[in-house]
Amino acid sequence: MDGELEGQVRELLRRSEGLEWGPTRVMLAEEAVRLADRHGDAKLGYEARQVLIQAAVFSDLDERAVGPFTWCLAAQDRDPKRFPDGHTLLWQYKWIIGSADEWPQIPLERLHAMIDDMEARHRQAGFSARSAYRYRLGLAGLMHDAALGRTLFPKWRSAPRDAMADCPACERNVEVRYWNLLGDDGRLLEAAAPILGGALRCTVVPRITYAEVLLPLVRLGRLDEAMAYHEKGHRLSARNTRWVEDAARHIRFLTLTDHPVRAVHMLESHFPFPHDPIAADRYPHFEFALAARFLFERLGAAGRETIKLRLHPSFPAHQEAGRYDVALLESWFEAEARRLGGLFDARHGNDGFRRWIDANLALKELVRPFPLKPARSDRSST
Amino acid sequence: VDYPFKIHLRGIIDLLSHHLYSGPQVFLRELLQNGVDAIRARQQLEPGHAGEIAVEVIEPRGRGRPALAFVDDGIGLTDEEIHRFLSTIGESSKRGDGAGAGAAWERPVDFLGQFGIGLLSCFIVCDEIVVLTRSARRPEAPTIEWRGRPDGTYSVKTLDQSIAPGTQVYLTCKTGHEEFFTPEHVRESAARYGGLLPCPVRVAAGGDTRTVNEEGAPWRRRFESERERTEGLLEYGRNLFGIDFFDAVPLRSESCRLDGVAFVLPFAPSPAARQSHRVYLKDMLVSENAEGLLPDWAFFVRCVVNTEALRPTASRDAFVDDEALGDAREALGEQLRAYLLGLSSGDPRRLRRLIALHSLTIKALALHDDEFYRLFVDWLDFETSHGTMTLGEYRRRNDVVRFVPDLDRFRQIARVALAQGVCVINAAYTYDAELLARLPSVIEGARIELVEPSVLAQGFEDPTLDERDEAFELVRLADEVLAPYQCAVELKKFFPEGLPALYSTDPDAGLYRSLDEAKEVSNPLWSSVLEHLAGPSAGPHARLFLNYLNPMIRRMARVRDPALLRRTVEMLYIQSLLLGHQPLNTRELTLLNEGLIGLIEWGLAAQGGGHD
Repeated sequence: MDGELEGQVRELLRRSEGLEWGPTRVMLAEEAVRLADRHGDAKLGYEARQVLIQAAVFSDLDERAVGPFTWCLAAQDRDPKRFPDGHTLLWQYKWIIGSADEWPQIPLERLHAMIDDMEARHRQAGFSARSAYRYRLGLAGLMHDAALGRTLFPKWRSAPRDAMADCPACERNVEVRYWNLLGDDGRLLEAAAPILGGALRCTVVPRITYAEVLLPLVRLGRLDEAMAYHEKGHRLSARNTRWVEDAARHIRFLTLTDHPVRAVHMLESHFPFPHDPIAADRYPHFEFALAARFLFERLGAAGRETIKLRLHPSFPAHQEAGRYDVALLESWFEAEARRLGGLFDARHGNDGFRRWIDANLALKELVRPFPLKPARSDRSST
Repeated sequence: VDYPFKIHLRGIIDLLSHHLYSGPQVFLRELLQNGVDAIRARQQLEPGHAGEIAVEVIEPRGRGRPALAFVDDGIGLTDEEIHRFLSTIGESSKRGDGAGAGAAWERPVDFLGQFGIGLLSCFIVCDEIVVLTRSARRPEAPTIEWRGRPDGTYSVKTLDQSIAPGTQVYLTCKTGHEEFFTPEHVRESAARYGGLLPCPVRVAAGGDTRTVNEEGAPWRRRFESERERTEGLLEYGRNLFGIDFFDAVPLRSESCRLDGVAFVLPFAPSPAARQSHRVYLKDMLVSENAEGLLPDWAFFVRCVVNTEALRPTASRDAFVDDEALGDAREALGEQLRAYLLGLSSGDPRRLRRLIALHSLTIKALALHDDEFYRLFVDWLDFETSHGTMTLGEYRRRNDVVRFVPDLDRFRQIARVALAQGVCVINAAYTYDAELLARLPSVIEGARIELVEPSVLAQGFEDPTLDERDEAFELVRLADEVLAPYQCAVELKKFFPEGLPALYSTDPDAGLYRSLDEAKEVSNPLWSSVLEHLAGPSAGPHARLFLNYLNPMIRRMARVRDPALLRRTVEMLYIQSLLLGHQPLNTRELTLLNEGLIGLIEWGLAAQGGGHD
């Protein structure tokens, strides 16, 4: 192995790992992969790709993880001695499946085949089917298929926990989503309690949980609690503008409690539409479009006709001057949500997304202004 | 029938010492906390009472064990209080009568003590705790002796002799814990935990008595001038952290009942490094690596802070992430912001140095704050095709801010841009692209442009009709040759003349390349997944601009041998990929190999070689 090359590749990876999750971190890892590939060093390329896969997934740039993952898997199948795994790929397989089901263009039958393949590989390495069931359950949730969820949930829970299982905090959040699928807000909040109370946490929990309990709490009329979790979650989710799903939920909540300025601010900061088609046709974008539609509907209902927004020039409805027609935005986002929802419904052969869109159209009934935490006026300095 | 639980005290102590507390040394913190709480309680009763804590290390004689005496002249305990506070686990003298745990922290702060478990933490290092105490509430209060043992039993008796009001605690070291009873350790721990306490803490050992907190909080001292204060604080920072800090910023918030000092780091910390601050609660050290106290963007400072209002976690070495912490975070962030703004008007040279050190932080802050952005953005350094310069310099020389948000594309573009006299910013680094994108909305009249090779190509001159005819065959064939690589070909004229071709990709071309590359090696399941993901082919993702100013391209246009022309085009394509630092996929590598061999053979043939 070329020592200097190896040093350069490792330096790039080290720099990448020193950064926060985001495009730059991914880019540096990609640069390392390219460098290794240019010199035909497959072993180094394999290592760099494993760093890249993690960087891409944790930066919510999943589309950039799929290619490298497939490459590594193929390399390992071809020559397991040369590319030892140490279970990294088996673990990363879970991330990839968690991403894959959010692309509507990947057919259901392919998703099942992928989960089966992962289960077979896990079993071969001596692990249980718990992860496979966890992702089958996740897929049932995405399909809005409560009946399927009911049959999968006990299978997931009874499969033994082992080193391939998610951490307790993540698994708890799987439960939270299960009760959401079943439409039981009370059970959902019971399941979320140890997360909200601070007993369970990891790299994604409680950030995602804070966002996911907002609507259930609003439905139950527990606005003061919802506001407290919004404040905490908002601070966490604001750290990374790729956390589009969180942003969608916070925007929806801010609209429900009548805080359009803060909602608009988050819409601008987390706006996900300028990306290429693979990245933009995903489930988080569907949720974001739906939340944005709701926000502009309320702005329009409040008598607002135009609004100034800073959106990326590659947004299809971009306006050079930054002034947008509120009604046009509402209809653009509704059309976008219906387009994406239609892709998912077509894949799932049901009308789950259409029903969820309809439920969102009725959200205006739940709007109840509720104050943000009072702003501090402590600007005195020494 | 209801039975009470039986509690195995030793087991609980073990549990606490290993899992709750950060280590055995916390017993001294707990003792100091109790002492200072008792003194505060007595001061409420007798406003003039000064209070004092005396610790004595009793070094062993012969085969004896080392021991520790801990004496305060605080409020002391009555008989009834002893049973309630010293001997009931989970109870603490600060809890209001009958108040549940939820109300525990709502009472103001005079009785912070956690007598309940606090004192029992001494069982980590000793087998018996002896307490002599006399309440200051009544002059005739008796002196009481309490002896607690880790098996969960304790005895109480009234003594005949009388001690001064207050509490004395005696500990005899348990085997294996001698290191916590050395004079050095006790002095150091007392100074560490209690260095800011308002009442003197004296540690005596072997006839040598020293006050460990003589200096008090340095930011509360009076200084002759601003300058002296800064120097005094920097000196304190140096002694505490061993770092020569860049600056020291006093912190103070009345509403959060908080004061202290923020030290500006003289180096850029890794953004992934955890914030760690030294935090005192009511002048007692709670944590030496508290997190969440400052906003995320403030990773360029290290703070020493005393707070009166935050709520510690059960282990008392961190704070609960509640509203009070949020308020404190906001107030501290506000003060750091004010400091930076103050520098920009008062000491711009210092500001430049600070920006050079902490540009990442400043960029992060500017992203979320328009006022800040306006003040600082022109001071920030950016890498451009003409070298590194501040945005201010760049804007003085250019009307439009042109930038490329990704490294590969910047490399492709820089050379061409340079030749055309266009200065382009490399905005591939953290926050740069986002920062520049905000420019027009924050600064009136500023204009930005995202530069792509295709944008530069718009400025390329078209060939004349005659030139087009001359090169017709070359372009037609090149287009055909490169179609399988999703690359279209165009003829242009551009500088530098020495560059025969420029390879330009769409923003998502890298992604499609990575999917293609994986498809080449994967099994049927995965290649079909990748196929679905990439979707139907959306036409070429890349473009090869042939430069008709380049002499070689002009010569190529005159070649009439299709096989040679094909080879040459292929090599040109590979070369421009390499210039753009693009990795080659398998097909392109094959192309390179075949092409090189072909060219060698062709060269040999032209030399009239080939006869054996």
